[in-house]
Amino acid sequence: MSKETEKLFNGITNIDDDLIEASQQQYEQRKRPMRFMPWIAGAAAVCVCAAAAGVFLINSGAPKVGTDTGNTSDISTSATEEALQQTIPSSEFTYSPLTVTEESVTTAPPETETSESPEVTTETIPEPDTVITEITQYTETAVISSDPVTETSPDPTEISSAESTETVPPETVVTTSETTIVTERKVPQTSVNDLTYLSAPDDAASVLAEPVYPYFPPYPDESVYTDYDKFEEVYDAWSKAKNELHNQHAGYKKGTEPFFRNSIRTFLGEASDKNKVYSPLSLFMALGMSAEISGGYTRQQFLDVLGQESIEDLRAHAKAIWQANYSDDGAAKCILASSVWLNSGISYAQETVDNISDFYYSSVFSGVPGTEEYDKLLQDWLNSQTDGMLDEYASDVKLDPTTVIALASTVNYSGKWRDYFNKDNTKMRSFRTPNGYIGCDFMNTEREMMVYGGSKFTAVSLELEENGYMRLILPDEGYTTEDLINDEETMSFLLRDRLDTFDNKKYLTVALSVPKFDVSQQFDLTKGMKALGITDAFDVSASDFEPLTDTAIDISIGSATQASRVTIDEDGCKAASFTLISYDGDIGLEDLDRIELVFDKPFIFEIMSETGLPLFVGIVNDPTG
Amino acid sequence: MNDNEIIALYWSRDERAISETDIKYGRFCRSIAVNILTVREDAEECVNDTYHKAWTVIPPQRPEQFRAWLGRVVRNISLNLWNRNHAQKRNQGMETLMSELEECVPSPVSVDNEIDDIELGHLISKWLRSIPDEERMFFIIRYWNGVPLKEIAEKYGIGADKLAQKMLRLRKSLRSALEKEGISL
Repeated sequence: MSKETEKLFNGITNIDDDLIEASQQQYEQRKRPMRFMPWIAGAAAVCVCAAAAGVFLINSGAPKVGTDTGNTSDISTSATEEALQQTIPSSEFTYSPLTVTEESVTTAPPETETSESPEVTTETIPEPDTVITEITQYTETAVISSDPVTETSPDPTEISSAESTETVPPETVVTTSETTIVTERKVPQTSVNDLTYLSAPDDAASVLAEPVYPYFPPYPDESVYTDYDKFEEVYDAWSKAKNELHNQHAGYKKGTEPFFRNSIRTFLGEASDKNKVYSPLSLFMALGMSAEISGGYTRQQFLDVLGQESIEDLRAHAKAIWQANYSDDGAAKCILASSVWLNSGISYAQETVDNISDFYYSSVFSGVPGTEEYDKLLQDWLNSQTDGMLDEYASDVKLDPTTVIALASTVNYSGKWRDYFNKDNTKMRSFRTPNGYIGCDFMNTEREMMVYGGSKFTAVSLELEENGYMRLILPDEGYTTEDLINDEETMSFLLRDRLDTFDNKKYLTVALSVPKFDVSQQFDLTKGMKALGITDAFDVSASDFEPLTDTAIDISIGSATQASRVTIDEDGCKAASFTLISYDGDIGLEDLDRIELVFDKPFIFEIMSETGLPLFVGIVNDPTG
Repeated sequence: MNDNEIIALYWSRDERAISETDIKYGRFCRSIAVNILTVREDAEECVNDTYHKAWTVIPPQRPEQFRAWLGRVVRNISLNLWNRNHAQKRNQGMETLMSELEECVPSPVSVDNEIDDIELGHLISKWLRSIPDEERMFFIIRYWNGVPLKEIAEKYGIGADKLAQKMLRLRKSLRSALEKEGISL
């Protein structure tokens, strides 16, 4: 052994304690080659793709998502993996808003896109239905059909259609023998200075476009594989697809921290005896779309609040954030969905709608605001994107007849604890709400874990399998949750994407007792948005929405609301949020080794995505909701 | 017994400190030593030496992360024994480990910028923090614990070849990181 190698060996011997400890735990906790998640297995095996939606152009020569990320995911050269690599979507696709979709919004799951495999053949697909296919295996062969889409349907609840003001170019539908389907349509590019306007169809409610989500292979279930090599291949493909989405380019979160910091303070910082749940990412997306439809100072205010230097930066960051947080493999779920709700009596700048659809993976709908049909379509969309978790709030959502455009964004999240809480240990104990003591179920465990000590709080971080973390922050005696939200150290803790850099931490044996909770909240965003600095958009005399339409005047924000709900139990965590912004107009720790950590009084929680962005932050004042 | 209680036994010169250490961390220490030395008897000797070392240096030392501290002592003692045995061509585990690590040795630089083991440990830690969690864990388990590639691959349900490929990239990445720091070993 050379002197240099021995030196290196000694250097490795002296790597930091916390890295060693974290790796030992991670390795020890790995019990089996693969873990399958039976509690959500129903969704794991099958993905359904609706074909012939025909709304996006996939540039087959364009770079694939993640290829510019510099990620260092596993490299494999097997033919199957190369094929799978091609199923990762292009990051450059263009949306044509005036097309036909085959699925009702209430039933259509997000599509999966793929690019052409080298062996594709071309033939006509006679019936659109034939291309609705379940994904059971990966792409081997593919079929391409090129047919103009002309089909219309008057019934918005089953199939929607639209008459285009432009010539609709031929659409390409790519499908495979057993798996992924992709739809393509080439549309003429429009420059910023050459806006063309589109008129939405006169239907009371219709779907103009559905987004095509990146392909995310199902989480591999080892129990169905008898061939280990095949399993390994599928696992590698899953891992590769995930890494390519999640390992975004450096700097994609640039500028977002002040927005998260300010908005969390704004929406959670006021004292209240109610539960509070806020989704920073959901609002980020809704405000990002708002910047797209606005111009001049109105747009600048949105950009300033979001910490973005230009609309181009915002687009790039929004898309990267979307991709970095996207998981939908049947095991872990995190989907940021968006939608645009147009008024069929108004013409819109096509490029603006295209940009929203492209950079925010947004669906586009058209209808007559104020009608029962359109409200139902909106409610159904919100429910379908949040798995019905927010039905209580979604069922009350209605658009005002003067609505020019409404923008909605949702977050749908579910994850399973990496370390379960044993149900047998769940016991009733008392929780001190601001209004007195109540009894509720506490999940109990004793485990070795890192404990973080702030000057005003004690916190732990519970890992959710392949899907981020839940941080639980308990105020020290004498401090309230609101004190913490307004405390700089706590905020720094909440916004830290990795906790290994937090100074005051210790690996301890923790007797952890956490109440099962189901908390939800709907709140009006308008006051908070104004406090953050968005004022022009509320003021018809100052607002500028020229990039959106030339047929409506005096547009301003009519309403802005967010509803969120988070539940945890012994298995894991589920959470959902929707944000709806409607624009109206005239038609216009110290020396301890073991601690007991009992969350039996109001505390803060945060669901941090795997890539380190705050999906949800909330305050539990009453675990029973 | 928790770590603080075990360390308290060392401080109070209570010999149960050693048996409690063995109960809690014996298997951990043995696995590191076996991974490096291959020969079980040699590994056992190293583990006993580790306990002896703990007994002599605690107090005055009071390790904050006892497991990592013990692992470090085992590695050092195992390396010394390996060096002694090397002439006798024993200990295949270390041979493999070291031949892999040679790939991480940065190219020599003209400036004399040799650093000590502790500083080098910090630089490697800095690099480790820059790579994804799972890759960091693989690297540490392979090169700090010395667990054979095949064993890690089996545990994670991935092919040994794939893991070897991943490790090769990691070693190259570390070498590149060290070269960027302009250090020589």
